[in-house]
Amino acid sequence: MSQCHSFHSDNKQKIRENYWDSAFDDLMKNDNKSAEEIRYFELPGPECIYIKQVIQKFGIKLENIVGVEENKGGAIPIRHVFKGQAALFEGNLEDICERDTLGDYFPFDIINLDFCGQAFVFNGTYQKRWDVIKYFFDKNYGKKIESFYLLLTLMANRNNKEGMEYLKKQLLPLKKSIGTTCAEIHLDAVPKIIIEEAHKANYKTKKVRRCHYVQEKHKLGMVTFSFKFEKFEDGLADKQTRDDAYADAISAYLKAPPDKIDDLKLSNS
Amino acid sequence: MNYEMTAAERKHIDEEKKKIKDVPDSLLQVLTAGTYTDFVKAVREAASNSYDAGATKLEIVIEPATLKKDEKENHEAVIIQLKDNGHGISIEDFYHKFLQIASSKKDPSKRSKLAGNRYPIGKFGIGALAFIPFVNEIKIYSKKKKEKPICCTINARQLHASQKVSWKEGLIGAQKAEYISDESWEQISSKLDSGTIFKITGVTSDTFHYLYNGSPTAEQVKSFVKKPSLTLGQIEIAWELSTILPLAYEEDNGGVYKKLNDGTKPLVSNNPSFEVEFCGLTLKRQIFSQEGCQYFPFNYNHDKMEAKGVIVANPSTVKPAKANGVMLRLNNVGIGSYNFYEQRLKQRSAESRITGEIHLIKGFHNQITNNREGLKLRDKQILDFLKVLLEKLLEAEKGAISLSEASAKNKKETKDKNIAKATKEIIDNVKNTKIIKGREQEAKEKATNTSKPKPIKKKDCKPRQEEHNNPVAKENESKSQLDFEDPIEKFDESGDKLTFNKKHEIFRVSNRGQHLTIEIFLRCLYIAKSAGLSADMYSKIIGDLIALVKAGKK
Repeated sequence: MSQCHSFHSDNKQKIRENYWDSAFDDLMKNDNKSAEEIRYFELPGPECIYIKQVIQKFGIKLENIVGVEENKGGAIPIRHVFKGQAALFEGNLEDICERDTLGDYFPFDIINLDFCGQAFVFNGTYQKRWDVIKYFFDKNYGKKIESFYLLLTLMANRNNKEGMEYLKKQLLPLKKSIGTTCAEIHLDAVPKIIIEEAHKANYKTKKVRRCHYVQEKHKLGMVTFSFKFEKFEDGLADKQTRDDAYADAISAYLKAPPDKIDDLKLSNS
Repeated sequence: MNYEMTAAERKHIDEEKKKIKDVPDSLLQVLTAGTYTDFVKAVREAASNSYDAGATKLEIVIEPATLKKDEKENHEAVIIQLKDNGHGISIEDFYHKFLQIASSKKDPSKRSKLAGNRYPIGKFGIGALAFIPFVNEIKIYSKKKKEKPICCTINARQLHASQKVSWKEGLIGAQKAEYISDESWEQISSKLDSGTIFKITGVTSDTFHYLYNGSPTAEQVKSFVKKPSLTLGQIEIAWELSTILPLAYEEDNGGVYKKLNDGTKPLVSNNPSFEVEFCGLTLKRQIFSQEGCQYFPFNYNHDKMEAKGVIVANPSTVKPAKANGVMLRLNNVGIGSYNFYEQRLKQRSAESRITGEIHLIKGFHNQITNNREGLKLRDKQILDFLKVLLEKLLEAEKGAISLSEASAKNKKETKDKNIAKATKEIIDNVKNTKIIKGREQEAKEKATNTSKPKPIKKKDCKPRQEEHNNPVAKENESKSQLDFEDPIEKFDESGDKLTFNKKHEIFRVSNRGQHLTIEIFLRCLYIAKSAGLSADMYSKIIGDLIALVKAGKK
């Protein structure tokens, strides 16, 4: 699943603390969610770095954690962290979602799709990865969750030509100038795609954060996003309300420039 | 770094496969029927092997930990992993030792370098093969220091199915061994220098039911683990591991371990402990003592045999029930189970409150049965030892009896105090309660402006003789615990009748026409009932109440 074999780096830790921890903080402080009830989905990786962090820092319960690991060897050490109490599924996330294996485990308060991989290679892989995001939206809506976070990390490079063209097309209706680098194009276009998916699933987008970073000892850059969604009142709001909410969300994120990784602080710095 | 097997290595492995011993059908039947061992013992064997491989830590996880309500049974989805930091095995070890039944040359009377200079504790010479009757697939990832990491697979399901071929042929067909890359090993093991990881995938139907429901005797150990997420089957496994394996002690409720460590130190072992984590729970060994227990240190030093331990007499029944008796420990490993060594105590009630453990330090290694479940009882030295042990058990029995007597005395004193307290509470509450007059009476008094009722002539209130002679009523009166559901009538010498009925919560003094509703009265009576009031005491209270009502207390 992940292109990155080692996740120990200052930049990655900055994202964990500033983007991911903020989601937990916000839900607990502003949405009255207790640590014991927050349900969390992640792609943990063999070291389970962030799982260990949320358990220690916030007291999130293992029983409320679900993970997917594609690599069979990688799943072995994860089991010793999960201790049979958190649910772990081995296999490709796209296939798992297609089979609805995760169905009984919804809703999730925080969904962390730390893909660290391409999402705009214009072939089956691309399509399936976006089906995953749609799946999570639909399933969470089906369980009537009022608000939740989506954390998304993608590789900012290595998309094919068709994929990049697709991204650029997203920006045309926004009358936004198209950035020169892959990362800039991702940072501008991906939120629009996500906001649209959210609106189709009857969620309005309340918060968007975005950042580009390069992980130390790696050449490839990542783009990372944090989205907070809230269900439209009464589920299916009228068209005008939805259109207004959509426009607000788009203009809000375009106004605020992306975060700079150097401006994000580490807790021990 | 990736490793590929060279031609020479492949040839060597083929040679090793030929050396796999065939197993007689009789032993094989026993093995596959699970009667020689069972799933719990298979886990214990694997844990023992980790210890004998010099591991200082073993982690065991079972997935899923519990089944959700209405969750379908999925035997294939069960995954059990055991991970240790022992010295690991090579491909050669896999064929030479792992796949050979009863090839183990472990001598429990001698320290072993391989075991980290410890006395080895594994017993059956079966190792991981003990899992075969219960699981579908076993994968063994292992690495020795500075050697290539390996992955070996045993397809147990295929072995179950291959009944027409010999054990050797079946096993050769159902196994595979190969090298894995250093990166894969690092990922799988979280960067251990050496160690072994068992991954069991899928279990049989019986094993599944055992894991999530436990065995018929599971209730005997239910109280052992308070952790709510462990199933009964898992609790049984935790019990087995914690009583048999050499683990560190946990503080016990009676404080016996602490006291012994301060003074006499009879809990001596000749083998260090290691850490075992089972389903997230760190297992510890316990002396199952309770607050207020008596303990009897045991020291035996005779005829070149030495043993030390403690026997505990508890004030109430030992929990869990399986800890009733004495556990012998050789090399810090439990021998068999808690028992009284065929010498039952005289008083059964005392017997249920005895527990303890004794370490066999010197001279006992050749006195253990082959299956290491007990002592060879025909040997004279052992009989002498058991005689001394029995004397200590009898001493503990006396202790248990005296604890029981003291406890019974305390209970009686407490009961008497409670009754006296309850009676006083009832009287005090009645004194403080208003008497509400009936409406009729109130109206009359208003009209006539009198508050006192007219006295009733005695001739107008005759006791209902037929009820006094009624055997049913008499039977009710003779009950030691009176039933509040039934209406009760009491009379005093003046013929006044006090009737009360739980349903209406009304106490009527019929001849006066007053209705006495005392909300709190029933509660008082329930206090009295729970204090175990006798009929006599009850009648006395009613008499006191009648007197109060007559006195017109407000």
